[in-house]
Amino acid sequence: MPSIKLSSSDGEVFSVEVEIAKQSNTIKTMLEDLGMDEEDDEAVPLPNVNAAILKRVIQWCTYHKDDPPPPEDDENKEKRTDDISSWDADFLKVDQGTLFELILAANYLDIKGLLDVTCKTVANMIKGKSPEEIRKTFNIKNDFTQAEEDQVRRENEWCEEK
Amino acid sequence: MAASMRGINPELKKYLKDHRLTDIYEALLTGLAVMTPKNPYEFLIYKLKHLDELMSKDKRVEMRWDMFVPESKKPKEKIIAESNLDYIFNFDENIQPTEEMIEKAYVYYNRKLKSMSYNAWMQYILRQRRKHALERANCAKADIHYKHRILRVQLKQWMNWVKYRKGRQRVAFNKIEHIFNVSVSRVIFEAWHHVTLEAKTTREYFERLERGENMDDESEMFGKSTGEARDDLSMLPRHVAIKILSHLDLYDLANCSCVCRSWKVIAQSSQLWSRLDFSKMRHRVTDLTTTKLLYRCRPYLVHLNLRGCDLITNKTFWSVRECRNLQDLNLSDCYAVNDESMRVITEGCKILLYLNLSFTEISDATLRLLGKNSMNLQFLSLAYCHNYTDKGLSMLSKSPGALKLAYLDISGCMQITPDGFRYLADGCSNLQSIILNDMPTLSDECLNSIASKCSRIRNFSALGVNQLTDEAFKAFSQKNKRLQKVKLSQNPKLTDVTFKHLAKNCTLEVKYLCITDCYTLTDSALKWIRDCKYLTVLNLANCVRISDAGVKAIVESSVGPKLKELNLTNCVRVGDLAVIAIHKRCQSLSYLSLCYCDHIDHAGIDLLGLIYSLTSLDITGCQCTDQELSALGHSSKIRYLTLSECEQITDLGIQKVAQISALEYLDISHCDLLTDSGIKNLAFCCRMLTNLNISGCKKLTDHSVQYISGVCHYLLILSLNGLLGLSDKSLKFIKRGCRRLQVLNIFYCCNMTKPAVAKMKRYVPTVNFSDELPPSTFSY
Repeated sequence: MPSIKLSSSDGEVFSVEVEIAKQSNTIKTMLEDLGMDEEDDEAVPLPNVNAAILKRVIQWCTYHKDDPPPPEDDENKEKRTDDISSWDADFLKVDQGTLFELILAANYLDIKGLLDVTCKTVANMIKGKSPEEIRKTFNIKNDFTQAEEDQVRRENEWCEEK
Repeated sequence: MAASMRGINPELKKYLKDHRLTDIYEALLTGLAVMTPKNPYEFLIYKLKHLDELMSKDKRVEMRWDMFVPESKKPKEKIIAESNLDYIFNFDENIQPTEEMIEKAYVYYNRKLKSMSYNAWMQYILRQRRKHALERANCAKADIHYKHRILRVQLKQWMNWVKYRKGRQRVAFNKIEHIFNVSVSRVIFEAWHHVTLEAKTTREYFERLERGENMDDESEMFGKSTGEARDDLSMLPRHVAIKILSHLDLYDLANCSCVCRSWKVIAQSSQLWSRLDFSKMRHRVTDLTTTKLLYRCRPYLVHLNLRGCDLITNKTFWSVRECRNLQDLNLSDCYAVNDESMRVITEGCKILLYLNLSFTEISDATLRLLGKNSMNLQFLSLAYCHNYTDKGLSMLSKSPGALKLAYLDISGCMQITPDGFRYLADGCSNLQSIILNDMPTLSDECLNSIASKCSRIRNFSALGVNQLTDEAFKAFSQKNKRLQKVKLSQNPKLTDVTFKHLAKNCTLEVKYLCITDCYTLTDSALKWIRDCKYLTVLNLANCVRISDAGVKAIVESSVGPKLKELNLTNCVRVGDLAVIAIHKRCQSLSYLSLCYCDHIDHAGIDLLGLIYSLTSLDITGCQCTDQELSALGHSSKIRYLTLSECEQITDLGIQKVAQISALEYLDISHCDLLTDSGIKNLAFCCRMLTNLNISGCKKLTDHSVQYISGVCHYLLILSLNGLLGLSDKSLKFIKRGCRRLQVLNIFYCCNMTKPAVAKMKRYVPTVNFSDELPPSTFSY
């Protein structure tokens, strides 16, 4: 199996199978556009991703290497957040900081599957919570003035008549 | 002597007097007149002779006027008037009429004159009277005519006046409207200007906040907030933050916008609000909610889903009308949708591309409106609408926009006749997908009319259509050579010949074939299909005549290595040979279903574990024992496994299956031999399960649920139907362990109590419960 080297922001170098690395569209286009030789010893620099995160990203990509496409079906599937596979759910059992770093890495490397599943995980953290609970979860301070808060509440009046 | 003898010659007078000739004459005449004898001459001669005899006896015999009349016939009056006698004896011309006569004559003349003049006078009077009547009639006519004439003139004048008035009113109205428009647009513009200014200042403010620039006056109020408001989500690139929020429903989004300023900005970005989906909360959405949200999103709303919203009314549709940029509208199953609401919507939303009207009350009028107003429509679903007819389709297809229509679903519309299909084909010749499910009346004629005009169809579906014959498909596939996806079911008239045509005409295009419940299909159909080199999905469920030879033929052709999905449910003739061929050839097969294929033996199932590409396997009702499961246990990729009704499986087999640690979906329902210890092993190894079905495994007790809930924390769906060994304790375990559970099926768990289940409903969104005894299929 041909492999390429990826270098994290803090200088650690990972050797990854090309097929695995190609799940990242960023790396894929890089390889295709620059015609990088697979035998090339030079590592691809990834200045936005640190070693710990890159390791996790590679772990995810390895597991999902040959995921089949979902069964073909006519019905346009509704957007669901509870269809995260249990492996992914387990994989994403990390602290919030890591989770958001993974999102940033997935966004930078353009790995659709990882971005989807991390975004869904964050969405699940928000789901069904009141504004106060959300603030608590994400450690946010309420910076609305009283007048602003009243206005926001007025704007969202519709959702209180459940 | 009666007759007067005035003016008679005295000699003659004397002679007449002497012989009394006048009297005799009178008497004779009277006798004649009264007696009227047959022979008057004899009578006269006889009477004269008799008189002569009397005279000879006595010259002075009395002469009476009635002496010759017998006593019995004597008249009372004289019959011969004396004047007559006078006339007879009036020999002399000088004879003067008597005074009496003159008098009589005078009277007579007078009377005659009088009567003449009276008649003349009468005639005159009558003529006068007629003349007067005529004049009067003419006068009346003239009068009426005059009146009419006057009326006409007046009417003409009045009409002119009205016209003049109307013209003036129109002018005045236009002026007023113009002034109104101007002032309204001024008001709107001012309001908009105001809002933009406000938005601009707010945005600048937020940007400053995000850049961390302190604001003099407010930094004191929120001393730390500007620095600390930089939470993880706000710091993500905007499109990623939006992607996260796009997974939330409307209520969650509303909550997000209340969190803090930066979240408010993200949560209110137009990308999030370009899509409104009310279908998830369809039973509680009211007009108030929809109108408010639609009002807010109307400039950038592109996708709107109102599927199944049963509380909304026409008011919502008036708000939809204001969303000028709406492209995608789903109104499926909305009670309130009718022709009137469609008029409201189509008049406002002119650029609709996708429209789903399935299960609504719309009729021909709507189709006419669509033809008139929605010229860009590409996707249209009219499935299960029963109120429109051929006429509607003809109106739709006559509009110039019909050429753009690429997808049409008219499933279940049995009111459409072959005429309707002809209209349809005439207008919508660029159709690429046509869905005709559940139309038992669909005939060859219908399909032929479509085939005659449409040549670009790629996706054809006719599930539950049982009248179509090979001839129709021949014509259809000859015309539509780019068919990619074909779905047919329950068609007893279909034979292998159809597939011959399909394979011959569309060799390089067909990718997806779903032919279910066709009992007439044989192996030779599959031999034809093997020419379709790009086939990736093949579903032959319930085609009972398919056997090993057919499966081998297709799998060993160039199709085999590319096949991704294969469904042979209830193809009872398929056996081990087919499985061997599949194992050998299908290197990309991911989804395989062999439900109820009784003929697959141990050797076959052993091989299934060696098809390394499999991620999903369904062998419900196959003869599968513990030994074969150990082979499956080595397959690392299987995530979805169904072993339902494999009654020979014991705890040992489940232990083998449990070696597939990545298993996410497992159905071992109705495997009666399983006990709690089997489930214990399963739970211990397969912690990643998201969907577990152990319904109908009679021996299981609360312990099983305890093991599962203690370890499998990712469970989303858990089915425990018909487990009589479970009590309320199980619910407690589930509540404690399975925090993510979305669906809990506990039908026929009659040892659970209603209050406990009601409590459970607070923690799990969907709980399906009934405390009836299990039906006979659970074989207790």
